[in-house]
Amino acid sequence: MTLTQPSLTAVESAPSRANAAGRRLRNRLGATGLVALCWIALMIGCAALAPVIAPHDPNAQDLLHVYAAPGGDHLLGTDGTGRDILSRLIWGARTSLVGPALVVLLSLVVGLPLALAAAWRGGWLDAVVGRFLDIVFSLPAILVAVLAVAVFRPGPAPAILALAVAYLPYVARVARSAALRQRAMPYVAALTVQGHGGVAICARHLLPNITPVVGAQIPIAFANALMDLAALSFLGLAVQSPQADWGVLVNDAQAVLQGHSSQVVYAGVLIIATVVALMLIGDRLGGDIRRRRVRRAPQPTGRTP
Amino acid sequence: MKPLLQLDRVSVSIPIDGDPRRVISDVSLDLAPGEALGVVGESGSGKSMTARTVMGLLPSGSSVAGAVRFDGTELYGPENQGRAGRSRTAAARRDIGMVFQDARAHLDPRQRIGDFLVETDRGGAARKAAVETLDRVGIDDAARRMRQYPHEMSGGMLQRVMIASVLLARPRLILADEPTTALDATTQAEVVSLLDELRREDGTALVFITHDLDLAATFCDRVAVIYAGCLQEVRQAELLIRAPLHPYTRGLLASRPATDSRVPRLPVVPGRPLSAFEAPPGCAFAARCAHAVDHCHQTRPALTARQGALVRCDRLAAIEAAPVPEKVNRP
Amino acid sequence: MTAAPVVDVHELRKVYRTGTSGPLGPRRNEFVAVAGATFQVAAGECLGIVGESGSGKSTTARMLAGLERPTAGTISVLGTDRSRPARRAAERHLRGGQLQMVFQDPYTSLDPRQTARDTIDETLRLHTRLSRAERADRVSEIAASVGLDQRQAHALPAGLSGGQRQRVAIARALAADPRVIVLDEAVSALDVSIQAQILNLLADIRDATGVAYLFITHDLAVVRHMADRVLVLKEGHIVEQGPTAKVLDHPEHPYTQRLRESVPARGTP
Repeated sequence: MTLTQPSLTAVESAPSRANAAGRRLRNRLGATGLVALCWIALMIGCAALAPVIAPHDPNAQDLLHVYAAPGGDHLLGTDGTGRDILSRLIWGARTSLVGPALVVLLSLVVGLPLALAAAWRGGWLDAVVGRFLDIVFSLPAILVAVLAVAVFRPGPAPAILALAVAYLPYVARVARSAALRQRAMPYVAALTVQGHGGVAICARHLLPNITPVVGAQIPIAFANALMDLAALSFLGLAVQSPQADWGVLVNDAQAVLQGHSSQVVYAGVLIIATVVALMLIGDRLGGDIRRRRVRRAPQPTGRTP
Repeated sequence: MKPLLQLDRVSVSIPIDGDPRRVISDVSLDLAPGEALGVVGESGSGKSMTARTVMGLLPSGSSVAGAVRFDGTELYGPENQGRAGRSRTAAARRDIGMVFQDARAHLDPRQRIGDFLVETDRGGAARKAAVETLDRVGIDDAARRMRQYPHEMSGGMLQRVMIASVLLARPRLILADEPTTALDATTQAEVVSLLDELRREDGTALVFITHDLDLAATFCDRVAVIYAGCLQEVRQAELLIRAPLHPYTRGLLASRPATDSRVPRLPVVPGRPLSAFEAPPGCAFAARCAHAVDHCHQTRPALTARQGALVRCDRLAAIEAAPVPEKVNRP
Repeated sequence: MTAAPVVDVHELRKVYRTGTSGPLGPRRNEFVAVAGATFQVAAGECLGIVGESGSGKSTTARMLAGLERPTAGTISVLGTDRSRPARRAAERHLRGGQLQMVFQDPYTSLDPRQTARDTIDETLRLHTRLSRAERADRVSEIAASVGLDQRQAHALPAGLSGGQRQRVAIARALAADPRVIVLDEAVSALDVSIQAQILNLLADIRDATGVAYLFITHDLAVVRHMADRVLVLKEGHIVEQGPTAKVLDHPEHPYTQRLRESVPARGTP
């Protein structure tokens, strides 16, 4: 019955607030979540610092040293044209992560305003947006991307754009239902009575309040987009060989799977580990929100007429 | 007379955010058969937890110290462990019925009222008893109502159904946890007088939990005022209202406006109500009390018998001498 | 009433239409929430509106605040008509500066991500032309006037108790410097001891600013304490209105009598 009693964590000075944010994140993620976060950080680090840390030019061929064994100058060996596998994996992190990041970013940029507008206006706009999102949600993302590539041309740009459309509902549906919940809160009514406009209320109040819920969805959408883009690249529909990309790397090596399977394994492991780590983080963040909602549910106020 | 329900120095901790937090401290109460006791407190006072402790509805991971006895049977103790112990406790609790604040939340929306009332046995006798009981709790056209769903009935009507379901089990004790708080004033008055009437007819004991001191006093024999998980004053209802002893009881009564007269300004109790785990080691009410002295902040007073009441305050003599302190000097 | 009323409501109606699909095609249901209410509030007056659930008292409040659109009738506050939704931003600001509202549930009527100070400041930004520094001073002044200390003013709602949150909600309303505040069950969710504190605070604010209250409650004792006049609503109809003492002590309408009798009388067990 004292579940909603105030804790004493309310006032924090600026530096301790940053600390507290870190502590909250640790609490939300848990030990496995932290490991997953470290893995993602490592991958992002590799992608960002690829020119610095990659030991070789990823596209430099060395036909004298094809299929070199791991060790020595080439830590993970070389591929069929003598390119350094480690360098290609490191550079591959760039394309493999930037692609899904663009997909998620684009779907956020379009999806959030759409969701907020639908939740705020309600009525026919909400009905139209809701149905549209449902229809898009029912389409397999890969299929949409394959169609787009067929209509335009194979390449990263059409694939990313098509996936961004397909991933719109991932973010927008969650954002819309969260925004509808916030919209019904008396604090939004209070802001309306104050005389604030709809845009201001959406931007300053609804958006920050749906961020935790939407934020939990982002890693999951990212993971799915990564898998889809890797699959498309593997099929030669998105990123094209010889550019380094994990999906491309799997494809490059699949012809010689027997005998020289290491490149497929390396690239595959990176894809799977990154996807699993993202899923884990998303699950932890989402689970935390669910838990908090349950904890806040009972409100032992004295009287409710 | 042997008490029907006995709480002997009961302290309860429940897990909040993973940490065990004290919600009831050192509560001792006796309830005679057929007696109506009001338990009055603000939010976080532990009033609902007291009922939940008796009913065995504490969240998992809770710990109970002290003894809770119903009709001589220990409800929390080493003998209640294991399968045999648990079934014995459950058997003892069969004679206790509970009415909750939100009747709608305690009914399956897809179940007809009749099926809810005669859940176990679909025999004609059980149905007949259910119709009779609905009739008793003032529901017209009971036979038709048996076929209705919860959404077809108003909140007051559903609370009557809940009371009927409790009565059908022929309990010797009814725990009512804010049963009328969610209801309109006129409905509240009807439901409360109904509960009172039925209880008297059957000779059932009642623990009535509420935030409304006036309401509890209108139909309970005794009223216990609870603050921060601690009983502060237990007294015959009429006396408690007319001549409250404990400063908290006085404060509660004074700060509530009246319907038939108006004061220029309400006397207030400063601060906010505390939960048991927030309470300081001394008197739990000391921080909000106008009469508190250093002694109050240091030692928790015992619940002692004074003027036919049980009161937990060491400053009663001083308060009697000067009921309204001029100016409060507190460190 | 000699002075012009600050709130003038004439024949206000609200009808909800709900279409439900029955076995014999769609059924049209009409629910009359408010059936032609006419009343005025004078400057600085406290008008109590009492009624039970479904009486239309909250719908009336929401129509006054512009949160619901009246089906028929007129609402005018300080001579400005507000029977229709505000079209332009200037109109919204004007209305916000005239009438403010405090809601029942202090747990949901504040943005969980905004501190008390930011909440008050946001209103000041909208309704005043004060500089940043001047606003900061005014925020402190308003926070102090509703009894929030420094710690509480910097706290998020989660760090405040129910009573403290309601103080923030009152401060937010005051920041717009309105002439009318609609209090929709504003003290009903509070503990008895906190309720008294907030009632005293509201009385002090009225003394200091001369603001008028529309005090909506189901609690006769609270309305007796606060209101100059009272209006009894039942199923959307005004069944009785007049000075509080007269209506509550000598109720004429049987429904008012029944309401009055339902309140547990002190000391008569």
